[in-house]
Amino acid sequence: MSVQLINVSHIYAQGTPFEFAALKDIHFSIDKDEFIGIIGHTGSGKSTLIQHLNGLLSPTEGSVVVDGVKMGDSKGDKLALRRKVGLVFQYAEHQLFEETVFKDIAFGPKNLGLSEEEIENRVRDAMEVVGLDFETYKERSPFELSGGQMRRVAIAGVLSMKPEILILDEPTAGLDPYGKEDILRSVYQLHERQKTTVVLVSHNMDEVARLANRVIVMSSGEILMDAPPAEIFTQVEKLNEIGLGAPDIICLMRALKKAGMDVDDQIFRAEQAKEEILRALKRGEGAPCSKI
Amino acid sequence: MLKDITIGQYYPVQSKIHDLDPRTKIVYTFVYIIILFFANNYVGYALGAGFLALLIAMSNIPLKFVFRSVKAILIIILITVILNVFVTPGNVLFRIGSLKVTDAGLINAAFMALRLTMLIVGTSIMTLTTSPISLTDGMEYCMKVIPGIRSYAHELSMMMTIALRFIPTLMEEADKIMKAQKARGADFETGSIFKKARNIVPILVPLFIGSFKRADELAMAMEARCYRGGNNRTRLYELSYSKNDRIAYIVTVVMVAMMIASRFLPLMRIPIQ
Repeated sequence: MSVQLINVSHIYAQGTPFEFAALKDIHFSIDKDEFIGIIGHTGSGKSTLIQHLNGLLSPTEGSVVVDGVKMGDSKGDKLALRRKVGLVFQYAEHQLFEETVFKDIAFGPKNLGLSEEEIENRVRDAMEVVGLDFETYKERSPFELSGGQMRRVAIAGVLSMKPEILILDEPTAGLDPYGKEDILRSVYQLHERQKTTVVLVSHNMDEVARLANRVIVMSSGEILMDAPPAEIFTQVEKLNEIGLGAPDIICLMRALKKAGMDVDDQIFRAEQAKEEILRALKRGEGAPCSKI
Repeated sequence: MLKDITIGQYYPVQSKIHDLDPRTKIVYTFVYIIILFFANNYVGYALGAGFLALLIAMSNIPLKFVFRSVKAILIIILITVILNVFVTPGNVLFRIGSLKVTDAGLINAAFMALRLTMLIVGTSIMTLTTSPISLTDGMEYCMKVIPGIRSYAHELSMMMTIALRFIPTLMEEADKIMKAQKARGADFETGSIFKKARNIVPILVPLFIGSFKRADELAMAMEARCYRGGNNRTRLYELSYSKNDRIAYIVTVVMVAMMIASRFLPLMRIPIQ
C-alpha cells in the first residue's frame, strides 16, 4: 500500500495567540517495501507528520491519499487507515494498561473484532517478533517488567494488528544499548521477512544510517532533504548547519582521511567502514561488528 | 481536541491590567463579587457593568475570549432565567398553559442573568490577565494576612502551583495515551454511556500510573534540594506595588462607595418596579 501527503500543512491552536505551524506544505509519499528514516530536531514536526499518516491528525490544509483514494473526514476511513498503518509512539510503554501481557497485546486485535483463536495467534506472532517468550510472559503483569521489556510489549501491541506500514517514533529512546539493539533488530527482521514498510523516526543518526534505505530530514516543519542515505549523510556540513550531527562512522572516516589514511570518506555504515579500514591497512577479515 | 483547552485561560498580551500586582487583582475581584450583590436598582447595575466594561477595555483582551467563559455557565443562567420568569408574582402579561409570565418576572430574570454574567466575566478577567503562577503567588501573600490559615499559606499555594503546573502536562499525556490507544483501534466516540465509560479504562490506568510516578519523583527531587515547607523560606521575586496598583485600589474604594450609595441614597435610587 502507499500513503501520500499532498501539500499538507498543520497548524496547532489556529486562531489563538498560541497558534503554531507545525507542518508547512509537506509533499511526499511512502511506497511499498521502503525503510524510511525521518530525522530532525525536537520540534521539527516529525511527530506531527507521522500522526497524519494514520489519521490521528487531519491536515489543516492539503490532503492525505491512501492507495490512490483521498482520505475523507469520516470515521470509517480513519479506522480503516489505522488498521493498515501501525503507529508506535515515543515511550510506548506508557500506554500499557492491562493486567497481563497477553491481554495488553490482544487489545488491538480485539478492537478489530477478530476471533479468539486468531487473537491468540497474533499475540503469539507479535511476541515472537519482539523476542518475548509467549509461555513465560503471557500471564505476567506488564508493570513488573523491565523498561526494555515493557517497550517491547507495547511494540508487540501494535504489531499484533498486522499493519502494512509500521511507524516507530523514537523506539529506542531511553533504553540501554542492549535494549536498543534488540528492538532495532526486531524491526529490521520484520522489514526483511514480512516485507513490512517501516518508518523510523529518530534523532540518532547512527540508527538511521544503519537501517534506512531512504532518509527524510526535517527542519522547522519542512522537508529539507529526501534521498537515499548515501546522499544525505555525505553532506556533513549541511547536516551540521541545521544542528544535526553526521553519523559517527562518517566522522571517523573523515578524520582518518585527514590524518593521511587512504580511505573512502563517504562511508557511513559500520560494516563497510571496517572493510575499508582493513583494506587500507592491508589486513584480513575482522570480527563482525554489529548484530544486524 | 484536548490540546485546545487552556486551563487558567491566561491570555498573554500587554496591558495596564496585566501589569498590576496579582494581589491588587485578587482583592479587586473579591470586592467586586461581594459588591455586585449590593446592586438592587438600575443605577447599581449600570455602575457594575460600567466598571467591568472599563476593565475589559483596558485589558486588551478580545471580547470573544472575555465572553467565552459565559458559555460554560449558560445552562445555569438559563435555568435561573426560566425560574424567575415563571415564579415571580406581579402583573400577568401572558400565559403559557398554566404558567404565568409577569412583568416583574421578566425584569427580575433579566437582572439575574446580567448579575451572573457580570460575576463570571468579572472573575475571568482576573484569570485572563494573570498567569496562573503569579495568581498563586498573589494568593499566598493574601492568605498570609488571614489569621486562621496564615501558617498553611505557603503549603496551600505550593500545592496550587504544582497542580496548575501539571495540568498541561497531564492534558498532553492524556492526549498522547488517547492517540496511542486510538492507533490500536480503540474507539472512544461511539456506543452507549456504559460502553464509553468502559472504553476510558485504557486511558485512565496509564494516566494514573504516570501521575503517581511523577508525583513520587517530584517529591523526591524537592526533598533532594532540601525543601521543607514555608518556614524561613525566602523568595527570589518579592511582589511589590507600583503607582498603578495604588490607583487601582483607589478605583476599588470609589466603586464600593458608589455601589453602596446607589443602594441606600434615595437620590440615586431608580428602583426596579
